[in-house]
Amino acid sequence: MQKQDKIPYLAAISLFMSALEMFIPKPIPFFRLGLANIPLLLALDMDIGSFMLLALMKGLGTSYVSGNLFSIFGLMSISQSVISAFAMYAVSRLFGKHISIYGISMTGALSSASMQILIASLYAGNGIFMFFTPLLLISFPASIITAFASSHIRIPDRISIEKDSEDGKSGIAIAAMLISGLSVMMLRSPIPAAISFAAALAFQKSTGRKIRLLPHIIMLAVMVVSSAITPEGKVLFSVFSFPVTEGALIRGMTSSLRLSAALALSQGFYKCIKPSRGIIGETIIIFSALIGRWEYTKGSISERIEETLMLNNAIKTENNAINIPNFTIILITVILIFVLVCDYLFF
Amino acid sequence: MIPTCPVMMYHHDVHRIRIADVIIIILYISIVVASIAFFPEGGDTLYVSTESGEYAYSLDEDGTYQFSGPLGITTLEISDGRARIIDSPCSGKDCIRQGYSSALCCMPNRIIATVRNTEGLDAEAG
Repeated sequence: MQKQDKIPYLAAISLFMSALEMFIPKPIPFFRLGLANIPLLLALDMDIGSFMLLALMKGLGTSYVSGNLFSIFGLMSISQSVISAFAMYAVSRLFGKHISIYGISMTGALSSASMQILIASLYAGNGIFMFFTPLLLISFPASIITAFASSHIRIPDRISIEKDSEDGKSGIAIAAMLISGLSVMMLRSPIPAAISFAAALAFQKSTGRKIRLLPHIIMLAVMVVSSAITPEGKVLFSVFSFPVTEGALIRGMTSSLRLSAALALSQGFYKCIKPSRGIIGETIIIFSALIGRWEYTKGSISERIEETLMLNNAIKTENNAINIPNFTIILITVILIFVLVCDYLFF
Repeated sequence: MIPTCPVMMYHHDVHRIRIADVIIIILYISIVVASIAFFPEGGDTLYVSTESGEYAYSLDEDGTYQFSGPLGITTLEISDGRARIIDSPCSGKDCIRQGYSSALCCMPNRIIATVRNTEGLDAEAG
């Protein structure tokens, strides 16, 4: 396969893997299995420019599918992807034939986990380091599975993509997305944060995107616990002589609700952005084709994956981004700005 | 269409373990062990007892806090991992003159503050 087809194809596979991962239950959300790294392991023979481009696409793609592209977690995801990809590439070139795909995958897992915790601690405080050890322990077998899968995957010789002629993004949607995301992250108190979260969920619902509350609940628990590590304020009760304080709980709740709101917004705006031409557009077209093909495949999971990746037919897709009325987009932005102003005035 | 194997570097014997793999595994294990050993203990905590209840603050974070007692408001300050009383409505102002300490009190205003580390033990005085 030519390089210019291979990059979007592999990027689309990583998108596809991220989508598959969504259906695997995770003990802690945002700490993923890493199946999306499989295409990177397949691309180690590329030149560094192409490889890093693929890494960037993988980062953007993973965020896009998780619906958190326009939030702090999206930024986290992208930088973590890029840095761990670079580590994998460096290690494969440094050690050459003295390292196998398993060692490379482990390097990726190690750097990925470290980056995730580091970036999360900037947002959630030092308490998040308590999750470093379990994350490392989970990532280890995950990296082995990823390496194993990548050594058994087969990809087609070539693919033909019929380019979608539709073009363009909506300027209003992008501006609204940035402003509302920013407003939400600047909230200080839990009640406005909760209200913004509710508004964001309503927005997400209105775009037709399914709502799953469980990840939000789990995130709330994680953030409250790691905030409680740093006591602040009135002691409510003690756990094994450790004081659980009012201020710390409120801080944890606020951070969590803010993030949940930002994520719900991302999920909603995800539907507003239409893929345009260029490498991003091609990737999304192939991704849609993969998803489309997946639905018709049968057999065991691995058989289905194999069949999906083959893409025997030419790819032609329809653009299925829903048309969200500009009114809804502007409305949610105005509501969030209003809530932010109230937060600073009254709370 | 004939499926091709992915082009991979040096895949003569994909599943055999190699020397750099061992290096990486050792590195991985070391980091896991280090993460357990250097598990953040958290700094010391300042416990403040007042008539309205008990409060706790981490000495890691700077801040100024006010507590009300029968005479009025006593202000405590945490900075650079230490705590002291900077204002109080008592007549002698002994508590302010104490300066930084791990045992502070303003008896007239019924405020007592102690520094303890995470095991709940009182920190050394001074």
